[in-house]
Amino acid sequence: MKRSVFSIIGICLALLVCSAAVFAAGSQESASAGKEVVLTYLAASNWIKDYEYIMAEEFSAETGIRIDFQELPPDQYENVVKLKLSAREGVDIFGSISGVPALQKFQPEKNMIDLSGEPWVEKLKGWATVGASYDGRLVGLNLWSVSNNAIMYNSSIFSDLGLQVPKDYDSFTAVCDALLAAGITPIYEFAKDLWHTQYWMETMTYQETLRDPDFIEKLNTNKLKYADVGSFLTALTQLRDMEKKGYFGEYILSNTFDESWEAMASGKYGMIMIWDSFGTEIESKFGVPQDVFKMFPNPMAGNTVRSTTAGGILKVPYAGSDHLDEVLQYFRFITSPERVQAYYDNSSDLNVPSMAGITYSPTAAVESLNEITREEGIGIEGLCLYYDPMSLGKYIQSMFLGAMTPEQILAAMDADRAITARAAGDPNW
Amino acid sequence: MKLSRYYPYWFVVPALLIYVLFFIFPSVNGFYLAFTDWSMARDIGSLKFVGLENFRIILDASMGIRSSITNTLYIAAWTTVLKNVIGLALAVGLVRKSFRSKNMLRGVFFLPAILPPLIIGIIFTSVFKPNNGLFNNILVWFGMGAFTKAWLAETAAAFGAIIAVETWRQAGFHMAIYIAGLQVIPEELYESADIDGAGSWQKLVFITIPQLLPSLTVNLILSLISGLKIFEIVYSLTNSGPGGTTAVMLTEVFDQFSKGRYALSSALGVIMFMIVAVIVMVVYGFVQKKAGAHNE
Amino acid sequence: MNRARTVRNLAGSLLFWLLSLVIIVPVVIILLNSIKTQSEADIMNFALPKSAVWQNYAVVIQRGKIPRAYLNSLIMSVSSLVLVILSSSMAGFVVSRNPSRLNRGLYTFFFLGLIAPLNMAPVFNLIRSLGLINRLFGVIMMFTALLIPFSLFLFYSFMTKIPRELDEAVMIDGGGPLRLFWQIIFPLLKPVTVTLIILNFVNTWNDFMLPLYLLYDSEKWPITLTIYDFLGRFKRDWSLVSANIVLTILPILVVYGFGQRYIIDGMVSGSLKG
Repeated sequence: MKRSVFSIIGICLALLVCSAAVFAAGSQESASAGKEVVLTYLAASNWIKDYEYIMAEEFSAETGIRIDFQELPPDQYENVVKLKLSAREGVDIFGSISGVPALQKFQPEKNMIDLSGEPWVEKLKGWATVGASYDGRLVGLNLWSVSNNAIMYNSSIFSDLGLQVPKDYDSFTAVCDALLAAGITPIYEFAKDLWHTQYWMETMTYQETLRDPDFIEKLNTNKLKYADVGSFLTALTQLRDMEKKGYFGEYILSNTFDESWEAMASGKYGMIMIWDSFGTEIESKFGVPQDVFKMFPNPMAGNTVRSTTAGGILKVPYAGSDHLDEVLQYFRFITSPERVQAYYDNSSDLNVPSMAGITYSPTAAVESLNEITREEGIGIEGLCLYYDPMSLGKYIQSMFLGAMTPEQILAAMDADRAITARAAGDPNW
Repeated sequence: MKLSRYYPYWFVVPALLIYVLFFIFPSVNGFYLAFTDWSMARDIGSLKFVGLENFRIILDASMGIRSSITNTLYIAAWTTVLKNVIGLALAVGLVRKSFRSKNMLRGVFFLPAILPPLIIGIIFTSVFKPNNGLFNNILVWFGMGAFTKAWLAETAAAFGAIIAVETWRQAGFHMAIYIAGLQVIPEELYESADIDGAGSWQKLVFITIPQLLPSLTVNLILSLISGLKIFEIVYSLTNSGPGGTTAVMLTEVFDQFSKGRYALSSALGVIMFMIVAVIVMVVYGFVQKKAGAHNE
Repeated sequence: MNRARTVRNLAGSLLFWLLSLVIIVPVVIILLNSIKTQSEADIMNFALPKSAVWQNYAVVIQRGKIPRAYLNSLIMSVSSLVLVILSSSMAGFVVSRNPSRLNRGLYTFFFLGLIAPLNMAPVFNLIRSLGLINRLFGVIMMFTALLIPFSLFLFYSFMTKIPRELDEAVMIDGGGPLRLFWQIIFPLLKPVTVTLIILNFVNTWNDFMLPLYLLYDSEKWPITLTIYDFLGRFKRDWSLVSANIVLTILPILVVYGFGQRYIIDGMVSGSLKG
């Protein structure tokens, strides 16, 4: 009996020593890190531009405050941030896509502070303030550019074949037919990546807003359903027809984004639905000059206006951070005019700057859009609560497989949205 | 009396403590959460009990979650059969004493079992690309260009790809268990069969397989469980596509979790647990009964 | 007769080597890709790189904080390994030797651990309320808890094979259960222990979900999470991803290389009553 008591104690001690050793290994690190202030900055991979690391190092050299950049797997990003916010710890700054729907996911009422009093705010352009605001409060810093989502075309292919820039859906399909006849796949579309194909429908938003200024308000208060939006239905129907006619080639459901630069650089494809700095990216990767790539607005469902994002990735200070002062200090540091200018100079994929007084050279794509129209507005992705691009992408795949009709897609989107809204405790649902 | 003195219960205590605290406790907690309205908008302190509401939503056909259950069963059935047939075939081939390089080959076949599944999925996504993908290139090379296709973009082919990759990943693992089982079969059984003039097929059916029943049991149970709990391969290979047609239970659990519908995700986890438990228990009971009957 | 057999054997080994290509080819492609330029690597094929770009590894090591990440992975894997082996071998010993009703119940109870899916949100809450968040220790305990069921079963079935006469000899000598277990039984478990060390090491090394949710400082992250520096939604630089994959799986390949021949031996336990 006695012996077994000793043995219990012995085993427990062994386990304890073992765990203590581990504990020590863990706490040593935090002890050494405890002296300096470290700001934890959460972002999905590729959200942090290379030049920001340089700015952070300068900041750290000047103030002794270190920034711990944590780049998380993109598909886990929201989950990790939500859990950490719910635990009220482990975050000082986190990234968020601009616009109300993205910000709403992180419970702005509870987790974000108002930055309107900051010195850099007055330099922000209008769209950069709108995209970073929630319920009248400015909750994040936008150092990214806004971009147009439109159809980019290879202008040398167009001029070789004597094609005109389409103005409506009919002339658009005529261009596609001509490209097909010339042995060129009209459009590179990558439906395997669920986030993308929905832009064919999403870019219809602003014309609806022009028709009815309360369009977004009605969607967000559940007075209007996706199923009732005519141009959405038309766009999806036309998208289905385009796929049937082979405008996207054979491999639309296998194509992925990471092959898109090469696809457009190769000259095997005529067009792509994409953002306006994409030409610069092709140039830097494959050497085809960016001025070959020009743009026109999505001509589906009678649309003639431009569609933009709500801005890029925001830096949002977490309301519960113990180091809010240092966070604001960091923001002031990186928003000095020279640094913002250098930031834009060194980030080739950024385009129209979010701050006044910063010079940039507009791409051929943006200039060509300017020649067509200056009328532009934000799409539902940046405006409409609970809009879920990934589900829509999945449904569009189903449509291409013949398993869903455009009507069923919109109905399913409405049903999905209701569940999410109720889970978020929205009284309008 | 005597037994518990020499095999004292407290030996179990450390394992039990860790297991209960860090695994059972959160699992039971998740069970409870499945009956609440927990979501990203609700603090965990102020949850409401909603009864079976979450289960109702899941079983509503329009949610498309039901098909993920049948998809999982389909994948689990195929992979269980293939892993075991291929694993056994490899084992039978690589257990022969005359086979010089067998140790190296065993090592090679076991290798995929230790690679991170997510990375395996990423590699095979590129292998199955329609143009310039390795698999289609090989088909063309062997003059079977007519069979090339966009493997991950057609539902049937995508299932095939998932099943193939999951089998690729695990067949070597099951091979190892079968080899172990084969090695303990007494040599005399084969010798006396030789004397009786039995052919190699007869030896396989009447000696090898019955003698292997214990390893077969273990292999069946483990491959069933890993098939029913398949996640990373589907997630990184097809991402449930095309059009959500290859979604499985765990990808749906993850999907609901990502949308901030925590309670729904937990409820789906509970359903999944029950399905796996029932299937595993039934198969286990069945195999045990067979094994018992054989031993008598 | 003999000649025919030799030919058959040769044909057999040739067949198996051909089959093994199915495994070898994808792995070799990753190795090749890791020393290609980005545009060469985009098309995954057998073409040799124009010139070996060892630079890829330098980039990965520098950007991915690799040495630190190796150390973290090592601490987490080894610690949980020690805890799992100690606790589950002792438990498996008693459960297999003393088939009381309680122990049979425990066996089923542990079996549930193989079946139940892990629910990340309650896990996160638990670890946080225990004050273990952002500590390697929290992840280690989770790994341990997750690995106990499988390890216990392997130990359990292996132990049913060790003759009980050994136990009785020790008992007659007047040795207690601890001496019996540590001096007599545990050394006999070597094959299954080595197997479990390898399998559990691999499992903890490959996991990235638990560290991702439970550790806040990137300083504490394991090597598997570094892949995401290069594997974004908007950018896949296959050459860097491949180099990172190679660095990630290198240690498991080494461990596997050393322990490979034991795995089969250890699996003998699988051939016992499950």
